[in-house]
Amino acid sequence: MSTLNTANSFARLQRGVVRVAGADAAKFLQGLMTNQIAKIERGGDGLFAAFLTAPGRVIADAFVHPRNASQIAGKEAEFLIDVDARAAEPLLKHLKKYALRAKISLDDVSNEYQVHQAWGPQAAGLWSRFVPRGDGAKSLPVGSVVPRDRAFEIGLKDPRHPDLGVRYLLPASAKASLPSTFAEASELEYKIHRILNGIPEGMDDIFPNVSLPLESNFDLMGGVDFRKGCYLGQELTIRTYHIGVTRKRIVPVQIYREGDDVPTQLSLDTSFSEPLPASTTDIRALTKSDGTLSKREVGKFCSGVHNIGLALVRLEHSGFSPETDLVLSDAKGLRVRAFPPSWFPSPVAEE
Amino acid sequence: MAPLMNRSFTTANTPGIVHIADSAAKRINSINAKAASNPPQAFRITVDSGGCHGYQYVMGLTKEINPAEDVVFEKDGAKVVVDKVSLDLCTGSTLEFVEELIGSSFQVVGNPKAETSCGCKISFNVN
Repeated sequence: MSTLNTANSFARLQRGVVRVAGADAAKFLQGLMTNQIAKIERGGDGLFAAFLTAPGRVIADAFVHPRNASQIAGKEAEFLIDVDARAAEPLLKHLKKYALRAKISLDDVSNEYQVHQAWGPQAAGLWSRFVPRGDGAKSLPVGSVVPRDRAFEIGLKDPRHPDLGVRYLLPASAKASLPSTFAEASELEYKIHRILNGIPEGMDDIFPNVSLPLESNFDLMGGVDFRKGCYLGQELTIRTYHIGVTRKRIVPVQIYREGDDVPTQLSLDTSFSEPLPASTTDIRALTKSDGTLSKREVGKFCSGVHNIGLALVRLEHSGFSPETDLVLSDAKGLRVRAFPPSWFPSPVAEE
Repeated sequence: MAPLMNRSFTTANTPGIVHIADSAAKRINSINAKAASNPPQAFRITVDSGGCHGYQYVMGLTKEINPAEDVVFEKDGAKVVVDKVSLDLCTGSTLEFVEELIGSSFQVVGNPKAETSCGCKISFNVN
């Protein structure tokens, strides 16, 4: 067993950054993402959202940050979109398809920015929510932002889980002025921390053009505004929400070898070195009494580190069952036990 | 201006066409007659990004026509204006005026490029 890194930490993440700038940038993004751009079009904190295809499948999970206008010549609206490094190009292509006559420019600026995550007991204190104050707040033109007095200009308190701390962008060359109590951690340590909290991120967890936003927990992670108007992919998303049935969810899983005891709690074992199956590997239910595998998959493996991971699992298989085991179909002799996180709302956890 | 014909037509060197149904021509003419606008207003169709399927039709009356960007279609004196960017995405469609109990409206129907469209027929998706 290894001790989990719960100290004050920060990590540099390998991510892509797409810039959308111009007079129509806010209106343009509003029509293409699941969250409400009005919350950030006058600056302030970023937000978490998904970009969807017309049938409602996720193209990429993204953090959308408004950029501080005091740093931009001409004070035009500018947004930076933090996505999986591999998703930057497909997202750009997607955005270009809908640009038409919109007064915007679209650029891959992955080389200009470094995405960071800081977590730990004091991480929340790194960030004070920005609220424009006074009479001037409402008359600020779209795209303008008032400078804030904090360590970084572009970022947000991670809305996906309180223990994930703060996510922020710095120019590639700059260093964050974090308190000395924060030590640099590896991207892998961030991933472990994220998985144990049950938070999917990037293309290995949220399969591009396949995954649905609610099955990928966007509703539970503050990534969907169910009251906003039309946006690409809204129809299916809003219908699923109102029908109120989400049969599959991404949950943390613990991986164990066939023959080992079924794990009773989610705990990291860094000595576990079995190669993990690829993203989207089928998970089937094995009935122990007669040794038969379910014909259809009951879930799909997302990604993992050592013996922990995330998987999209039908919720009836998300708890412990004495009769069935969950088998990873491509990985010889590996099984998983799902552990719905405690922060899932109770109807989800109970189902 | 090209000569008037019974069918809708395009000006030279333009790849697209938008058909005007009788119902739409009649309605545009009656709006112009009622408003006594001089010169008569043209009906503009614009394809914009937005709506739940990515692209949406924005329709309205206009007096401004830019010969460099716009293509004009005409039927029975009713003019329909589409800019070239929008025409790319809706060529081959027909503008209709649909009268239904739920409400009467202009609709762009039969767009060969639209793969799927939303319930209100305002938004569509191309492959």
